[in-house]
Amino acid sequence: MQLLGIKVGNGLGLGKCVIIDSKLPNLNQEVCENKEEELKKVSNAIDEAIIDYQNIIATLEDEDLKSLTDFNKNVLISPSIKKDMENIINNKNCFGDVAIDHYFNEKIKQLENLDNKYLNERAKDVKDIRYKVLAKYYKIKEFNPNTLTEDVILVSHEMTANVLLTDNIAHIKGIVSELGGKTSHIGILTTSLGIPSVFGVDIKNLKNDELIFIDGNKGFVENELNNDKIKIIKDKIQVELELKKELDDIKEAKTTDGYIFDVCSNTGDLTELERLDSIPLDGVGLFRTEFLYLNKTTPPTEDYLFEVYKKFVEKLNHKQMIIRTLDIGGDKKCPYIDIKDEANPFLGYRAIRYCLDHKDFFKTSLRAILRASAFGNIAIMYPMISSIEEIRQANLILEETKEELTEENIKFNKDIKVGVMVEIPAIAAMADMVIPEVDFFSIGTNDLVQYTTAVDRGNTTISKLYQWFNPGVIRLIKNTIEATKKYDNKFVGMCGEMAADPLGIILLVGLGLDEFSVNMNMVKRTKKYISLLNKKETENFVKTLFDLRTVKEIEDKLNEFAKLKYGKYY
Amino acid sequence: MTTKKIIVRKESGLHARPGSDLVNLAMTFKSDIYLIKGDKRVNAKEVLEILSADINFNDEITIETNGEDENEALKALEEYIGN
Repeated sequence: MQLLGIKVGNGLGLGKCVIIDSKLPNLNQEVCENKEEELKKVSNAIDEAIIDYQNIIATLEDEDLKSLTDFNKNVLISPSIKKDMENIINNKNCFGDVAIDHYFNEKIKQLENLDNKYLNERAKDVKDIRYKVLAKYYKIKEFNPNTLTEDVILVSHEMTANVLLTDNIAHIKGIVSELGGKTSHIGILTTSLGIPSVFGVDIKNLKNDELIFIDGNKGFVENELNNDKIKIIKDKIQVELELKKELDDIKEAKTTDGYIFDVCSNTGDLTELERLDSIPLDGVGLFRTEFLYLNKTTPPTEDYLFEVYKKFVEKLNHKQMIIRTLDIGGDKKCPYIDIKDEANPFLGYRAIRYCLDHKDFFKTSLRAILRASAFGNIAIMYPMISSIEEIRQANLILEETKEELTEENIKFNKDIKVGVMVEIPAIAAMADMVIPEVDFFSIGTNDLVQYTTAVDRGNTTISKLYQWFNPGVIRLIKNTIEATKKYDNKFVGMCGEMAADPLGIILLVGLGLDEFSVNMNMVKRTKKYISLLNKKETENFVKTLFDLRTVKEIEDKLNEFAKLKYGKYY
Repeated sequence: MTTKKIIVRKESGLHARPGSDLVNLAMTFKSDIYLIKGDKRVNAKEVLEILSADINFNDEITIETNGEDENEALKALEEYIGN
């Protein structure tokens, strides 16, 4: 039987079902008489948790898991933690579990209330630590992954990341949880460790020790497997493994008829800097500058922005990096940016609309980009453009900024390329009018689809109407790409999930997109898919899609072609 | 007591990993060690306090050490954060 859920971590896995009982007893809310005894129990629980973490650190080899565990340990070796616990027990006359819960809840709240997404995420680490200390306090025997001797799929009502803190991770073939989502702590970890995971699954039908299959690519778990089924699954997993191995050797996205496409990465997260040169990318197709602005109480300085851009572009070694100017609005707020709450932030005062009204602020960001352009191949991209007037206005400010730098004798690339995001349907519809004004387009499919179909994809009631292959959407994409083809020195890229989708890749290769910009961990896979296609043949095939009237017909036809061309990789 | 102003040179700031490494370093000294950024003054041996100070690349912060090995502590922290 297939149990559907939300796909979180990619990949396939087969293993014995191990159900972890993650429920803790209810807190003891009575008045405590023997406070000293409770304090001792809390203190022991903390010490035991520290010892556990230290033991884990000693055996771990994975650097990320190691540093995570080290962080957990350091939260507990805090010089003030025991004193704080003592104060809580004395003030509230409570039992130790209430004190532990209270102590960590305060810390979690503090982190969640900070205006910094990254720090908000760390609150999840603290939740896992709270769980660990409470389990020690209740003397609950925790699941110990180090004792695993065979392949398992871990199943729990609410999984904590503690189960992954082990060097025995090769035996963990999948994670299934009823609660939690993509951005939960365990969700992020399984994605980065490459462990298949599916959340939101109703687990009551799963039984311990039964062989089960997890499909993190499609988002389901399957039990009651017969021998034939097991054989098919094993073959599938084998193919997946081979693909992974082949991906390690991939260098360029060269079609079978010898045409090379650029596959770039989206970035903007400082923590990704170190990984940039470990991936065979052809540049950065979208540098999101928001991250440099969002987590701050005051605007970032020109020097700070310059240094970050310089570091990234130097690491890219002459490959192009497209920096998108600030894309911010009522949904993503900074304390120093005055954008009021709006009924429709996605249709509101945001991105270039704000920047054009705040010339000095915009100039500072442009100065940083221009200065960095002396150190590598940088291009500028304006987001949320809906008219040619806006492009001209932004370019005017850019020219002024260039003149200022020239007067100050500061070096920059005078011929820096300037492009726009194509995410508002108006621009896609008049792409032939827009292209003479710019050097390149970058199609932002996530927003283009949302605006074209008038579907908020976060709204689960209607999200099935959010369709890349809506004939209206693909016509706008075609129109945008074709407009650039009349010029030898202009190019068109795409930054958005469609550029990494196996079916999307077929459409885009066929339409002649020049540059695919995808998430860092999709670069190799995207290159692989492109390399399985023949450009001429794909072009002819894609032409036939434009005779079809419904999404289903288009998808079915793409599916058929994908099976033929991608073969076992699809 | 010894203090010194420095510029943070850790690219990802003093967040989880570097913050945690900093605690490991600070713990090797007997002195009290504080980091000051703007109006925030945090204990360098408390990893959650360091996190909440939200110390980023290129921020100017002050290191303050107080105790028998304050000079060694200051030097070690300066080297870790400022390089």
